[in-house]
Amino acid sequence: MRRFFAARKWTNIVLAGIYLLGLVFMLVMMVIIRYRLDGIVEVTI
Amino acid sequence: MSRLRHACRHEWVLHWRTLSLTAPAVAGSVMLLQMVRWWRGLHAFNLWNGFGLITMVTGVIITTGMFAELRSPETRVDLLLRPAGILEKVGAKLMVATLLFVVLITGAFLAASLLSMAVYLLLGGRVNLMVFLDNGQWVRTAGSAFLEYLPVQSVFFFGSVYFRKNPVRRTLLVAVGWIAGYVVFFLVMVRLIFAPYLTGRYSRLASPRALGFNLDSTGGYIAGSRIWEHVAPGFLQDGRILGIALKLLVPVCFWGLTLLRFRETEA
Repeated sequence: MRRFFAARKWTNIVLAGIYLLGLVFMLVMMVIIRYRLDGIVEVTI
Repeated sequence: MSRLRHACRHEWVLHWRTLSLTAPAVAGSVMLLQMVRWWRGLHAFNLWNGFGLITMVTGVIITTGMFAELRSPETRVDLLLRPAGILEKVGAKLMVATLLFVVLITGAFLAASLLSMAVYLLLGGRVNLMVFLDNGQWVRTAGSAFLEYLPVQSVFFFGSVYFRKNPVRRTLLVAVGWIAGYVVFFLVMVRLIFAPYLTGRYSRLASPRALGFNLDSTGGYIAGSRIWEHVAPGFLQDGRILGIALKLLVPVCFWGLTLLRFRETEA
């Protein structure tokens, strides 16, 4: 574990950041779509 | 500026042989392959149809060789001690792998087109001469191929400095893994976020309706695109904006990362 942190490089951190940013973007888009979908769908019981 | 010019000149001299051999060889082979088809009958052909794909494949091979100096102990020291800043060294390599390469391969394709046109005329062909020059659109074809080449180039350019061995294979592998990771995440998230719509919980309770359609298996299909127009953010509906954003962001990110990685290598 210690060795891993010692070998930590900014490039790897930025890469991981870009990857996570992509995931978060996808997640936010899906939540927005779900929210808007719930707004137009009527479920009558 | 003068150092950048010298760095560019240095890179140009280093890669001149590869570039000057590859570009005409590729254009010549495509031309010869087309000419082989003349045994069935003389016809005009358009070399520019495959220009985008050929530029991309050849460019990726050239690009991944740009940092080959880092992989050999002797040239590595030579590159690191060269009197230029990181930005100038990487910038010079980038200039050769993008601008100069595309200018060369476009020139080679243009020469091959004109040559095949001349041979066509010599053999007695008289019709559709403009087909050889992509109906006069060759500049536009070359331009759009260049713009599509840049994002791919930037990824492999970064791969070239990031991986010490087999940059092409490793970059491809990581790119596939990256995309596969997104696909898996996408599927899991769709299953979780849209669970009530997918598990049939709604349909067992009552039939859900949207925009006047019953969301069962048939009505759902018909309403699908209309519902998408209502729920999706604008830039997801118009793919062009997303495409332009990606074409800008990917090169900027990966060229920046290349700089960062090269700086770490130098340190």
